[in-house]
Amino acid sequence: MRKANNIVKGAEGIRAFGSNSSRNKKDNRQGFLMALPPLIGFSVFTFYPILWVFVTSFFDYDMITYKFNGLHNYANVFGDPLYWRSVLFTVKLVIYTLIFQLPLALFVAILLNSKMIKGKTFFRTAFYMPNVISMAIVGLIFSFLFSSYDGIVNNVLMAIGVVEEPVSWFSSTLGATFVAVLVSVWQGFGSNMLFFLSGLVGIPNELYEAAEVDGANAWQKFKNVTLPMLKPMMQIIIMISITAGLKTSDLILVLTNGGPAGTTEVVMTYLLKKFIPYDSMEFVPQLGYAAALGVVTSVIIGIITMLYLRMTKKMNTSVY
Amino acid sequence: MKTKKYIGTIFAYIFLAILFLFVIFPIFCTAMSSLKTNFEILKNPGSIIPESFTFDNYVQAWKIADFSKYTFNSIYMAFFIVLGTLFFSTMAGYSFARSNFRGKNKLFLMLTCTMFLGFGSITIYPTLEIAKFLHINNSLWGVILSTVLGANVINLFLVRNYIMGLDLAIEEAAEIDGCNFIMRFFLIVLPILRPIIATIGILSFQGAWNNYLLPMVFTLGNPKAAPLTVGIVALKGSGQGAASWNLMLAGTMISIVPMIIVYLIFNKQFIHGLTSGGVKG
Repeated sequence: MRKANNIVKGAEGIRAFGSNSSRNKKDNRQGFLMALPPLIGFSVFTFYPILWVFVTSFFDYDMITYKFNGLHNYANVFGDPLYWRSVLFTVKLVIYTLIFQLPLALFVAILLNSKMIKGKTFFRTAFYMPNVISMAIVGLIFSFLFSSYDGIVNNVLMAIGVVEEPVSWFSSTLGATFVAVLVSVWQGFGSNMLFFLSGLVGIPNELYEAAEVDGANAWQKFKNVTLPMLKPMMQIIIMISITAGLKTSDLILVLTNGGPAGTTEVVMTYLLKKFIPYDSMEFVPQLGYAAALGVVTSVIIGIITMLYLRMTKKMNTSVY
Repeated sequence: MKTKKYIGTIFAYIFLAILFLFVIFPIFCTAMSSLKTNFEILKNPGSIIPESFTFDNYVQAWKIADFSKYTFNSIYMAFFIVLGTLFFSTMAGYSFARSNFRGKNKLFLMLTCTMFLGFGSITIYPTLEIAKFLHINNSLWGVILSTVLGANVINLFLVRNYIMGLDLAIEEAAEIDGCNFIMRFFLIVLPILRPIIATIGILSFQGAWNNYLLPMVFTLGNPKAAPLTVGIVALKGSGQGAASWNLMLAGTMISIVPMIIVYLIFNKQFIHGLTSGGVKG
């Protein structure tokens, strides 16, 4: 009835709309109030720190005085071999972990998705379990297991005759890297398995039936149906693994703390130790330099992410 | 053909069993070693099963080594982080889904842009500076506030998407009955949000309970305020490192057993949380 009136009497219609919009205004005010705490928190705890790091990177700052020194900090970053070693090691760690983790996660997901296996929920629950434990605690557990001389792993390896004398895992770069990769695979393959499982469920059964009609064997079905259908999921998994892997810090801090001689330092622990007196007594605050390291690291992570995105995009367009 | 399939199944089970052992072994060894006497850990750390079982390490960790305090700190920190995260992310998520204040879309775009940037240890120092300014450094409140307010975009996003998928009709009916925007949230929308609240609650509990770096930095000057993760790891770096393995092992179990129990109970929410909030790096 009122609606009809509004159409007929234009002026009244506008007035009616006006009152409606004043109620909307009140709603919007309340809505804004509800969104305000996170917005304030975001500006204080996310936006301001980013800005601080960016601005400080152009200064010489020792916690007391700010002295502008232009691009000097950046020049130092590019001449800091230890920093670039940590970048390189981080990238290596990500790649090694992916090489072992991806095939394992995919294989397990396919097994658990097939009809022949019973107790799927049991295995799925068990395999994802390491993921819910704190990375720092995981580091501690493995540094106990791999203790140099009389650790449990050394004992087991000697008992089954793999090695003749105890291995000092953390005193060689190779040993420490091996343990770090092993821990990453142990901790992370469960989540990738779950991602693959959710991808596998989405593959329509008809595709496999059609392949069977064409006389495809198990391997051909895997190569020509499963893999191509999982490609988008695979790209997401690799993306997540790369971005998370580049930000590794807790595990390395606890497991190797960069040792031996800083060769297993990752980029996040390297720059953290420039900000904060983590374990060394002779800490000299060089916050401007640390900030420049932070900016360069963010840019590197951004570039790697973008390169990966562009690469997958190219792959996708060339296939379809 | 049939026997071939049978053999395949057997191999699959053997493989899964080996993998299961690989996954369980480290946790099992830690549990067993935590039940050894301190003497046995030092004398013979390589054996898996203890010669004699004892709860001494737990008693010592709890009574002498401050682990009761650490446990309390962990619970305290996790409680407020979960509560705060749920409160603010549901409210803001509702606001971004249903209200129309000026600049909403631009603000939302800004928030989502930063969602994919995680700065890890890069921004930890300025965060500490802010906490100093607010006089909440050297306490877990710095961790709680910066986690609840600073890093919640994913959760906000999950809530917003969930609400946008809901039917508007009930809220419109409530509006006609005289409910204002805030009342509609508390009376109508919040009760429907239960599944997403469970997911976010679990995710934020996991993050808070397991967090190491942020509470470590915030309690550098006040070790009494440390949560479990920080307290346990601090023993490793301390002078008598090797001698305190008994305490570290008992502490490790005190830290991971509650988490594993929560995981076994809310297994579904964990898995749902992973696949829906999977972008969280």
